[in-house]
Amino acid sequence: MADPLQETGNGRALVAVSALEKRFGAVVAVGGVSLEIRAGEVLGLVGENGAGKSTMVGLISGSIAPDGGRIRVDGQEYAALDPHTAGSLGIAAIRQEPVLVRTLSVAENLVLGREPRRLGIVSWREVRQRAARLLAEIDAQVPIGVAVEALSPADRQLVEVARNLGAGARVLFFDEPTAALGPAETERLFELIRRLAASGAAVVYVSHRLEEIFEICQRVVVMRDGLVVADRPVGELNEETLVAAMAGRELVAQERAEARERHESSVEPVLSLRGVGQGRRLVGIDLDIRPGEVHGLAGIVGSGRTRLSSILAGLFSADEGEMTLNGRRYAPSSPAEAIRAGVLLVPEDRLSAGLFADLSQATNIVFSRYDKASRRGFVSRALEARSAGALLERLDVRPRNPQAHGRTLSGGNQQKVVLGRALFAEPKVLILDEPTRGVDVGAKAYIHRLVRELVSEGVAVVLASSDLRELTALSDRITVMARGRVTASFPAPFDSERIMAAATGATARSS
Amino acid sequence: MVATTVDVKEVTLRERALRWAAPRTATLALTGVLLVLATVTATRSDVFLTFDNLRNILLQISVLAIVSSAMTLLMVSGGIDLSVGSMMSVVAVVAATMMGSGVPLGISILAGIALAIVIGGCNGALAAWCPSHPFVVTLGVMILLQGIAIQITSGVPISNIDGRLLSVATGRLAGLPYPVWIAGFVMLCCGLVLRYTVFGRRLYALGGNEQAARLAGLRVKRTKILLYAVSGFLVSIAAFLLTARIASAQPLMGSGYELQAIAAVAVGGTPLAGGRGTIVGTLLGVLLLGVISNSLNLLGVSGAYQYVLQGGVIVIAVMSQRTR
Repeated sequence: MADPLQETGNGRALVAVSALEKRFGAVVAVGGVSLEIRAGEVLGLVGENGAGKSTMVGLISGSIAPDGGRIRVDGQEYAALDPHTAGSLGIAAIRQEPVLVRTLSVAENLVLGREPRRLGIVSWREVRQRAARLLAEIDAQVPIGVAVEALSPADRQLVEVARNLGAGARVLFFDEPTAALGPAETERLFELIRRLAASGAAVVYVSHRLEEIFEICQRVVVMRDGLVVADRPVGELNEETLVAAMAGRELVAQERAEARERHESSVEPVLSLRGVGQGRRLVGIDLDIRPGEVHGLAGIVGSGRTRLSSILAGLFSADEGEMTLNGRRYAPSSPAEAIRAGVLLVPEDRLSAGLFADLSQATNIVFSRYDKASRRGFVSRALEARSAGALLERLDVRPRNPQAHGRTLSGGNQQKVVLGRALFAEPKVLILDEPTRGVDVGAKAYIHRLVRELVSEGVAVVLASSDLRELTALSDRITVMARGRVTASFPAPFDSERIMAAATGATARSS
Repeated sequence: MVATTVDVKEVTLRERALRWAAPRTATLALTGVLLVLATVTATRSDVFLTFDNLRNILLQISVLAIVSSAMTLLMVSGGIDLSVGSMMSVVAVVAATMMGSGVPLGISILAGIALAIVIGGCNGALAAWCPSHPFVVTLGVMILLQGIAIQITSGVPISNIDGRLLSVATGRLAGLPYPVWIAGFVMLCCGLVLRYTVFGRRLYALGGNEQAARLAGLRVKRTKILLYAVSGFLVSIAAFLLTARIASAQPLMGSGYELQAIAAVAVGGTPLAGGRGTIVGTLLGVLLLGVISNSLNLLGVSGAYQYVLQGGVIVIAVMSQRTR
């Protein structure tokens, strides 16, 4: 990779903050941070959940007002920025959950607030042309005419990126941008980021995926407990030192799975699929899921991975093929039926499809199985808290308050609560769709450990993930999907390149 | 993680008070508005604070209180039923017609209740399968039922109501009229259902995040049908109380109750989107509406201004909740 600093001859600070502070009540989110964001540089911003990364992004991009400190943009000092000012200064944050108008089309979102007009009337032809051009610039293949709500999270993110570029952003914050992207889309995004930096823009890249930091950043700022604990060129760091700086402690080593063969030869599948299909989305899926194994589902966005998970969980019905669960025909017509049969899904879109934001931790946990947490239809907070207590303890949900509402929890703890609801229902088959998307390294290691624990207790785990490292680290077997079909199935140990090839369309079949 | 943990024991009294008050801002604000209104009226009118007048207010709001309780359940779940007013009219005129043609009182009332439950269940089914918000589909049902009520009565009030039913409106227990007790009981039950039953939790979940509720195993359609049927049942109670109070069954007797109930529930802090809200809030909302019209009467404000002021207070009360 070329060094953009030299290409542009430009390491000038576009944004410099000094002694920036933000408190939320008694909690210090950012406690006096100074850093520079330089033109032509990709700056990695890393840290565990709650370290203050997202707050920093909010402070600089204007969505959060600081309690102290200064923000200097192009030599001009500000005590605080609002989103509009930040936007006009060219500062834009690409969010984890893109801020788009769900009911408007992609094209409309791309030009929102800047609609091209002729004689005061919106020129739709120009809107479409401009939208297509913006998307083409980032090499995104997103239909411009459909409503944003019909897009996958990955495509929404691409639209968000395109929209901000269209608005003339030159200081861009990417907050976990690859969480929902497949390998090819990720590579395209990286190329785009490199191009942006080379053209003199400043990019701040927030990610939990350390290998990405090493791949595209020139400098890394590590935050912990609201403070910058390291600010160094990427060349002076390696993965261990970075993790140690983030966590302030040794990361628990991944526990790798024991032998796998014993299973496939001796254990009968708990869930079997034969020729399962649904329209053109899914075609002829054969799958055997065994108790005590992690069955990875690989595939890029649009491969049918999520659709398959949904069918297993009773959200949709398959229109061909057979499913059997413990030897009996399994054709759930609703999630309620699937849950009674012991098949639980923890969805990808956990916050919008999982959490009850205005209900307590305890209610969230017991919701799927009120028969275990009520007396003749009556519940009380105490009874719920008692029923959920052991699980909240096991998952280490903070704060330790079963009555705390879902809304008040941090992202990682919300994930745990949604996961906890599935565990409370005593799953035989647990389907995890992108279980570590957007969580910090600590929580990720914890979820991985939990998955291995569940497996050792005899649960069958179906792990759908676009994070190939996660899949290969956890799975006993990986089934690869592309365009609604199974293209390959591999036993551990895995060869990432062959999985990638199968996921991106090469038809090598193996078992 | 470390930075977000707060030691509970070190929290000062003031912070505890704030923490207690934060989720209750709507309730507290509404209580404040009520107190101000009552104080102002009390200083201008000797009658306001008399027991007779307060009892009168309670009697006047009892029907609305029942309809609003039903509406609270619906709105907490993210639903709504605009047809409750017309449903009251239909239930009352059907039962009154039956009584008029010699059917015994008890059977007529039971038939009315059963009819309301069926209509409610149908509304629930429509809400469950209708792709748009139940607001629209129940608006259709509201107009439809209104037509039926007028057709049944040919537009003429039915006034030969059984005396035993009428005595419900006039009888008293411990100084308070029966309708007040009944409304209080209904509110208490709805409050308990929302707070202490699985069904209640499901309504909050449904209103808060329908997709998540479905995925978590809630039978969404079944729950909606049951909910609207329960609402229909409560509405039928309101219909008979109103019949007893006005001593007749009229084809337009219930119209307007749906909007007043929605206003009371919204003023009480339940958002149209659902997922939140309490019966206590609704009670305050209903009281506010009752106290406003009583105050304005006592202060001799003309009818037209009463509407203006009542509407204004609703707007202010709802806007003041947006600070959260």
